[in-house]
Amino acid sequence: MSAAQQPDLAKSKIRVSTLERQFDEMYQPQPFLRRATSSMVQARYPVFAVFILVLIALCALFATQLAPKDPNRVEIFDTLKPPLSYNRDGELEYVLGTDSTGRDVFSRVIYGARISFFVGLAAVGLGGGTGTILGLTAGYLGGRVDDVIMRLADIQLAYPFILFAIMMLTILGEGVLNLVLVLGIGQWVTYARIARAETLVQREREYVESVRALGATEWRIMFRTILPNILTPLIVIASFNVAGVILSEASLSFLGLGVPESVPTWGAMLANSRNQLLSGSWWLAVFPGVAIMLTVVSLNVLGDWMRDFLDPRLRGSGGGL
Amino acid sequence: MHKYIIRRLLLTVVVILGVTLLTFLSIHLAGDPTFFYVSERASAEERQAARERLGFDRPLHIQYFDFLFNLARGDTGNSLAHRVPAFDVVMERMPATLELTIGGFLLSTIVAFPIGVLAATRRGTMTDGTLMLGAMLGQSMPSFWLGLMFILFFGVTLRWMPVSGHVAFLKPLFEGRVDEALTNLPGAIRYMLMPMVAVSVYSISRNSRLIRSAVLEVLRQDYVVTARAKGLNERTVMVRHAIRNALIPIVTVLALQFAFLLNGVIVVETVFSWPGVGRLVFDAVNQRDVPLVLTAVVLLSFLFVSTNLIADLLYGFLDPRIRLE
Repeated sequence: MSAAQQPDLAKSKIRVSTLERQFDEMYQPQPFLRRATSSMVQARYPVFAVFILVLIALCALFATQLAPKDPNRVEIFDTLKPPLSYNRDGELEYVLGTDSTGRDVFSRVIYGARISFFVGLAAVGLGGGTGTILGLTAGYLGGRVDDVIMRLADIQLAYPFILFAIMMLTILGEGVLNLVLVLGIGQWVTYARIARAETLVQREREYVESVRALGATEWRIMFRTILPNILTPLIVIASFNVAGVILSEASLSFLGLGVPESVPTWGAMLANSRNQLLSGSWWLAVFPGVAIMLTVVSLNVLGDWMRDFLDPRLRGSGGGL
Repeated sequence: MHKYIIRRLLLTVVVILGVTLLTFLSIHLAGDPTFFYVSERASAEERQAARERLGFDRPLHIQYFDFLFNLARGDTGNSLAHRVPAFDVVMERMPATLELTIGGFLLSTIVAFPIGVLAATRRGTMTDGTLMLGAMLGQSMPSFWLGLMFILFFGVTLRWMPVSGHVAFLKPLFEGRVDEALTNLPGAIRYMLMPMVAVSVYSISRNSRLIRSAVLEVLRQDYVVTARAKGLNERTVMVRHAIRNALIPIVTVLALQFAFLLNGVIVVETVFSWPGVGRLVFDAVNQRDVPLVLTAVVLLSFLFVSTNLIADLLYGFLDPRIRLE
């Protein structure tokens, strides 16, 4: 308004500053979260995946509040009730039926989410952390250290994981921590190989050179300078990896390894359903399996989206490494 | 090529040593392994006697070399539950496991190939979308659950398929009874069908996704563009130029899937009461029959290591760039 009365020079100054602001607005990257959400909505499937995962995570967190019954409570008068069964008072009592000892399948499925989520996240955290540090060290230091770490990785890759897990758990005995430990050891190689490959590229870059010239210690270069720059592919792998670990956990529980009998897990529920299958108790085998599948498929869809969003170079690598 | 083969063989020896060392160390991990070999009610004297008999009182490295020599002679101690040499018990069950693994390998290769190529050529269409969605679902289902669903649907509800049982095919074949093997073949396939499909679905899904991206990668190459530009029809471009070159990464993938198959076979055998090593391991784990678990694990790893070796040699043969590296 007052701009009209001002001299030409000042006028043009205002114009330039407006342009600058517009330019800034155009080229300033949108906040990360907003970009992520819009990309997610655009891809559609990941939205469903996040919804399902949040639901299952809530089940895991609030199992005690959400489950209608104690998952281990045996009701000898209510064995093998089909889904949507009413009790003697005519109330809907067993939404997903009961098993051969009368335990509520719905409550057990809800509690099962706990083990799957905890083991999945903890094992990936353990394996991913160890693998990243070892890979980073191997790639950065090279030489003898690199040789030793990578030959170890070769040996482990040549040793089928399921056999390693069966043996270790037979020896160590059951327990959630043993399960996490064994599953974690099974994952480090993938991270180590990727971290090493990425470190080999990054350590030659100029920014690493300049940090070194400033007198940073090797330790600082490795963990403060290089590590943040190699994290993206590792995060992408981790999301697929959680899915893979949940499947492995289910297989091991199915074999009766890992978690004590008193802890409800989806895999162990499926193992128990085997004997009731021929008599037609389909609900025992269907629901825990659906729970596993929904969780794993959601994680895989999310992983696929994350890969495309964070690191399009990895596109087509097939996932589920 | 010789140098490549020698290097690969040496690596295999290192791997086998590593695997046996790890297996050997694992039984010492929980402390005194004598406890795995004697009854829980054994007295201290009995345990001491067993410790000396089994040689657990000697230094570790001597025990390890002993373990290696005995392994080479096929002696891994007696199974606690069967009371016969564990080696023989595992070898007895090996043919049934091989049937399922080889069957699963063939099935997953034959099915995944056309799916992957079709999805790649129809990239971005409904066909591609549907196939890849199916592959995503297939990769997310545990094989043993699929087995249970097959039993429920085809076995219990429709009554089309036997829910368990096994007719031997490889075993008579290995023992030189070819006639018997051939007569058994139709029955063997009938019993094998459901477990085989359950084992392969994961591999089929994974492979078709990888084959799709391998073909897509090749389709981007200049020589494919050239082939199209000089007016070749699409079929020739695909068969002569694209798929041939996509084969190299595909062979590696197919060979490496053995790990996933083995994973599936061990659990699926339990579902279908298949008389293989997986089912044996399952029972042995429940009976805490450590010598038997140990033997099965070592023998299955040898199987795995040798297929990897074959795959690597084949890979070097297919792609000259690899062996010159």
